[in-house]
Formats: sequence, C-alpha cells, structure tokens
Amino acid sequence: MSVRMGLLALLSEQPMYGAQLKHQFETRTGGTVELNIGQVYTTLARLERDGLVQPGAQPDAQGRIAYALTEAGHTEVQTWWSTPVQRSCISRDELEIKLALALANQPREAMGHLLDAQRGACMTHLQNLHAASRQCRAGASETSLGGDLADPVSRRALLLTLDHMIFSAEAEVKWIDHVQTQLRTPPALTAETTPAAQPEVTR
Amino acid sequence: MSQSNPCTPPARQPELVMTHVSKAFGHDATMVRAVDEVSLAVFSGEMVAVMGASGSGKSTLLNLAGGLERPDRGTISVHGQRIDTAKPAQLAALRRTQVGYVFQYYNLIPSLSAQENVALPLELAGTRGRTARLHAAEMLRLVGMDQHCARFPDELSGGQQQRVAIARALVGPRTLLLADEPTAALDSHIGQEILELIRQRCDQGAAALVVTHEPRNAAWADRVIFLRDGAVTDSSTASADLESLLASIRSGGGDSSSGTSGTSEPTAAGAGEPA
Repeated sequence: MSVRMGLLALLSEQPMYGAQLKHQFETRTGGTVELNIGQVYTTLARLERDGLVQPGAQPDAQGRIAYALTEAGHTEVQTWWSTPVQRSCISRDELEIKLALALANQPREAMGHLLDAQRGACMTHLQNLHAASRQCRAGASETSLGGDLADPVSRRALLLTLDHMIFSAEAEVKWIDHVQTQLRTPPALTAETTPAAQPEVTR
Repeated sequence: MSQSNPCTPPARQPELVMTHVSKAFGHDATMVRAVDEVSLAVFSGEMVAVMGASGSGKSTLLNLAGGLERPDRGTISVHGQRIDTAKPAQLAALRRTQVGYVFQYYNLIPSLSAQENVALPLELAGTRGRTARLHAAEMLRLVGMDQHCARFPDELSGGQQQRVAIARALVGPRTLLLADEPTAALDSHIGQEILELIRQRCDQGAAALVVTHEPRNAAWADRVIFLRDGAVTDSSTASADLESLLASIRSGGGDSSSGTSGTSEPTAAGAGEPA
C-alpha cells in the first residue's frame, strides 16, 4: 500500500519513468526504503490497470517511457493526503506475545530476568537510534554519510523515520517498566494469575 | 590499564571510580540498603545514565559520587583522588574545581543574581570577579538564559532556575558532571537541549553520570546502568553507528522492536496486492 501510494504521490509532482521513480522514492524517504526496479514496474502495471496512471505515447531519446497520473490518479492522491492513516489494533508483535505467554508460563523470577534483559535490549536499541539521529543531524557537512544523505530533503526524511523509531522504542521501554511495576505489586496480579493457571490443570 | 601493547591507544582517564560501594540508612529492622556493592567507572569522554524506579538507589549513588554522602563500605575516587576518606576541606575543594552537580531542586542562592550564581564556583576557585562574570554570562547564553543574567532566582520560573543551575554546574573546567533528574522541571524541548549540553561536554572530554527514569534522557548516554534495590541489574551500551543502522533498516530485518512497521513493506507489496 505505501509503495503504491508513494509512487502515485511522486507522479502527482511530474511524470516520471521507472528508474526515476525508484531513485526519487529512495531519496525522498531518506534511504530507509529500498525498492527493486521490478517492483516499481509491477506496481506501475497495476496502477495502469486500475486507470490511475498512463504511459506516455512516445519514449524519450533513450527509449524510456514516462508515466503520468490520470484524472482518477490525481483524485486518489488527494484522497490519500486528506485521509488519516488508520492504525491497526491487531498485534502481531513477538514481544507482546512472548510476555503475554510468559505471565503464566514462566516463574516470577524468570519473568523478572526476561523483562530485565528485554529492557536492556530495548534501551540499547534506543541508544543506537539516538546516536544515529545525532550523527545524522550533525552530519550536514560530513561526507561520511555519502550519497543520498548529502541531500537535505533526504536527510530530513531519514530524521523523521529515526524520530518515529525513537518514540516507539521509548514507549516500549516504558511499557516494560510498567509491566514490571505491575508484577511487583502483588494484589492485582496474584488475583489474575491464579485463575489463568487453572484451565491448564483441568485440561 | 595494561601498557604491554604499544599499539593500544592511551587508556582513557577514569574520572569516577566506585569499588564495592555500599550505603545503608536506618538500623536493624528498618535498615534500607540504598546502594549495595556497586562497582562503577566513568571515563573521560563518557556519559553514563543511571536508570531505575524511585527508591532504587539512584540518587544515593549520585550523592556518593559527589561526596555528599560517605559510603559504609567501598572506595570512591574522583579525578584520581579518594573522596570517601577525604577531609571536608579537601572534599569541598575537589567539588568546587572538578565536579559539577545538578540537583533535582535547583539550590540557587536567592540573594544572588543568575549571573552571580553561575560565577560563584569560579570565584570560589580563585578566578577574578570580572573574568568569572564573563564566563558566567557566556554559559548562561549557552543554556538560553542570556536575557535573564540580572534576574534573581525568585524572578525566574522553575525551568529557568534549573537552566541557571545547569549553567552553574557546567561553568569552568569541570571534569565530572553529576546530574539528578536534571530535566524534571523543564518542558521536553528545553530538557533535550540541556542534555545536549551535557553530551557536548562529554564529547569534549568530561565524564558525566546522569540519573534519570526517562528512557529518552538515558538515550543520550554511551552506557546505561539499571539499578534495583541498590544493586546493578544490567547495563546497556550503544553499539551501532548510523551506517550500520541504516543498513538494517533498509534490509527490513535486524530490528525486533515494534517501531519499524512500514519499513519491511516493500517485500510484501510485490507479492499479493488484492485486485
């Protein structure tokens, strides 16, 4: 979905051919997304099928065909900008599943170690993201960032993604703290864990 | 520490060394082991964060490192000097010259202006008044308080007072910065600027020990140690640079946190998009 809409949004700026779209998509997302060219053409084919883009009548001097948005394509992009992205409530996160199962499956002490180790891992992740973000901010003049990130638009996009990851990682550390605090306050939790353990016994 | 290999870079200077440090409060049945057998070294150029729930011993650890508390057992050295056995006068001199301390509460002197508060440690260390005030003004500018040099603490908001306190802790050639929840009274934007100042000092060669319960604040540190019931349970060291992180973002793998949804989508998009 994000690739499809991303390509449409780029084409709303100007008609482009495949390689151009790939390059623009990668640069403008700060190098966080890598597309392969086959994927670009497959998506363009679908968009054409759906009447959202149309290929130019004439190839350019190098034989490349630029794609442009149709009227319906422009409408689609406008709708995308004006509609909030809906977050799913369906959790497929391994950590959530692991902790949920550990509640009844692991002895309390082991659960404590598990949470400590997980907090450490999440914190390392957060430190790494933070260091990367500082490096990215400071690296305006540094060549070490190379290629795409020399471009300010690209760098800003990368920072946006890093900040998103930082906020998520921060929330995860806080969530682990919260789980641990709840585990350490006996009344509420013993009341809940005891019945949870019972069905297993009867089975 | 070993000098055997001539190729190894010179060992970094440990600014703070705590060895098997314990501190308890109360007696017998009511005794609380606030800090229990903690060993820790903070090196020049390093920023270390201490995390833990309230009551885990974070603040006591910091007070021990700053010489505000004496340990029951163990040794503590700052800038190569033992502080657990130092005489009060030696301790005061060391705290004035080497250690910058930011408290949870600002502890500014009410009868002195912001600039005078910041200049005070320099003057106590022997800097001439005019020079000290110039340095103080520059430091206040760095924390965004240059408009308020002449104000007195009771004319400043809590956040402004904390920025003055931070300027006071950072002024002069301090080699060890100790901060206890330094951003608690600040809104998050200013809080991050203050941490950036501490980070910069470390990048310039200072050592810092920062107590915080906020993951976002601890993320500025090279190393994070976790305390529970006065003991270190775990530690976390930053390990990746921007390039390797970018590589793992692009490949859509190597990241188990939930915060990366979207980055792994390209592989899925090519496969089966509903018609």
